[in-house]
Amino acid sequence: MGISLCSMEEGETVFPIEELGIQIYSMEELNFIIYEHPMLVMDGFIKDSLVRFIEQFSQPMALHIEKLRKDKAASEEILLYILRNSLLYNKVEVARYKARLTSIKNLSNDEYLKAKADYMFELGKYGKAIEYYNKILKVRAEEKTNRKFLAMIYHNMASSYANMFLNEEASYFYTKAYALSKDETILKKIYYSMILSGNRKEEDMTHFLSGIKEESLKAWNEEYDMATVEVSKIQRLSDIENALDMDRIKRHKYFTQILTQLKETYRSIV
Amino acid sequence: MAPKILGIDISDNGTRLMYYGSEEGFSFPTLIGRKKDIEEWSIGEQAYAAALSGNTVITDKLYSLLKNDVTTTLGHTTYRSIDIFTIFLEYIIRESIEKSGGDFPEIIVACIPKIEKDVVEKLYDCFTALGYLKENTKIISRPESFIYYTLSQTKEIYKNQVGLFYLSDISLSYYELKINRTSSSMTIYAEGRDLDEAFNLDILNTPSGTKLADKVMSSVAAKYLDKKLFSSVMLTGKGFDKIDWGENFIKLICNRRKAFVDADLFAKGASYRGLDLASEKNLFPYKIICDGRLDTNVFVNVEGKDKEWAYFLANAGEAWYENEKNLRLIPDNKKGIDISLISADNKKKRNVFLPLDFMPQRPIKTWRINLKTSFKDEKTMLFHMQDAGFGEIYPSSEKEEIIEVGLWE
Repeated sequence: MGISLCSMEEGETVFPIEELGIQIYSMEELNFIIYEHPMLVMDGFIKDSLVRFIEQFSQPMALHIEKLRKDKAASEEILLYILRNSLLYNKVEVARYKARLTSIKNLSNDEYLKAKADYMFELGKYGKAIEYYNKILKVRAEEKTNRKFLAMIYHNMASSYANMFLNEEASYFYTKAYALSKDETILKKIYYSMILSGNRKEEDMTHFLSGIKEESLKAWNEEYDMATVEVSKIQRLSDIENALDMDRIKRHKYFTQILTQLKETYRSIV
Repeated sequence: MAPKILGIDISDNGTRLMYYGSEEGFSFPTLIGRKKDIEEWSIGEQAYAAALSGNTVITDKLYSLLKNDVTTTLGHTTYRSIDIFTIFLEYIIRESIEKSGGDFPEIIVACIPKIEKDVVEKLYDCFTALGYLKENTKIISRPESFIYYTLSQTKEIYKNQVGLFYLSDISLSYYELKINRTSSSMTIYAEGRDLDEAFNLDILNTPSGTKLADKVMSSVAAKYLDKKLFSSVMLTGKGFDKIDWGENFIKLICNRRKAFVDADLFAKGASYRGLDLASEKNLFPYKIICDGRLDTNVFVNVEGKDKEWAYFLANAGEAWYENEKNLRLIPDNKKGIDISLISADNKKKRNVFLPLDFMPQRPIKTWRINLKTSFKDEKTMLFHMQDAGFGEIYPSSEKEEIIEVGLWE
């Protein structure tokens, strides 16, 4: 692909993409999102607001999409139509994209939900990821077959909770993952989530540690201590420490700002 | 009703005005007089008379003052050269209207000896200050005016090459026009040069002086006209107001060619350009290559929907000083932009690669670049590239780079 010409104008109507926490303003951005995020756009992406967004750049394209929707065309057909008419992707790239869509369509329902959940996890949308994992578990939790698949689900759910600092839940699901897979790497994660959990019961910890080799525990503790030292070097921590020496008004202003930022960040991952 | 069209030829040797369709033009020395004590202005003979009376100060060579941005103090007031020139234009246009009657012009085309971008902009500012709309004014070079004048004559005049001699006080120039005809189009080339053989016109007042002048001009004519095929030779400038001094010179230029004198040649050519400007149709549908007009096509190959085409940043025949393009592109694949140059006669080709090293690290498909092109002069193109960002996905880094490209370096 060589040089593509873009319009100098941005649309008056923006198109928000909630999962990515952004708004898009041009057809190039839309095409890029479609191409780079097939898991995002396959369900529920083609809607009235998208057509209104496209209409400001190309009425014929918007009309054709409306026709496809009326004819109940699959979303993949509409997505491919948009990409084929973009200046950003050539035939080869669109064919590659089509193959990706086909492989996603060929997934079983569970595999698809897992792929969707994993995608949300990669985006840092841990709350959404847990929703999708739960959908799988609603059907599959009681089944005895495909323990490996179930173990992966429990493990990824646990990691999602851990990223949201919900360590008690993380510990619970890591334990379920270990029970199915007997993967010893998960034991370390259980240990850390128990340490970080404020609500753990000491007898649970004692019971857990009774099954752990001493040298493994020593290595985990050393790793944990090293991580603690690394974290203490982070600039934000020293900024916070310095803020404690500020006068009351400045200190209040600084911490209000920090808390607002942290809340916004947290809301975006839930 | 057809708009009134004015052509003006501007130089330090004099300024001539010609209304389209008129028989006679108006001539003014390029100077202005200002009374010493009050802000009252005068031009031409009136200025000379007032200066002689002692109550007026004259400033001449107004065109050079404008070019060099010189300020002048008259009375106790300091004037910018652009302000003085605006007053000069106002007065000469008004006087030409008073003498010829009728309305003020709607369309004005001014021609100058050589196109320089900043001079062009200053002249546009002068006309705008006088209330003329920019879209109704044009600044062209003398070679371009020569082209429009020639193309407005009968076809036999420009069947072959056309020569032009301009003779004024201490100023002698030669211009040459040739036409390249193909089955589908016509390209007209014109160029001019100042000659070292210029002489003071005062020598024409003596018999020995006229003989010398005749000898000089005959030698110049032989040098530039020999061994080439000319359909016509034109003469203009104060030195040719009377041509009885140049017997041998005239014999030479008339040898198997048409020859004629027109003191208002450049002003008329400018007025013909004005006619084209006023017309909805393109009255001169030819490619014109001369001072002020590009002799090179500049383009970039773009792709989309599996098709490739050339996007022209500049076309041969366009006024380079008015060329400015703004576009937004995504380079993809290469970390740079390939620019192609082809001369108007297709004899020269060149590729220039503009690297995009200033762009931040991110997927190349999100490298949206604002590219602004313009010309510093007729031989140097400017490429101003800026990171346009990719919306909220990748906000702009604000980084930019300006690259100067000598077209045929």
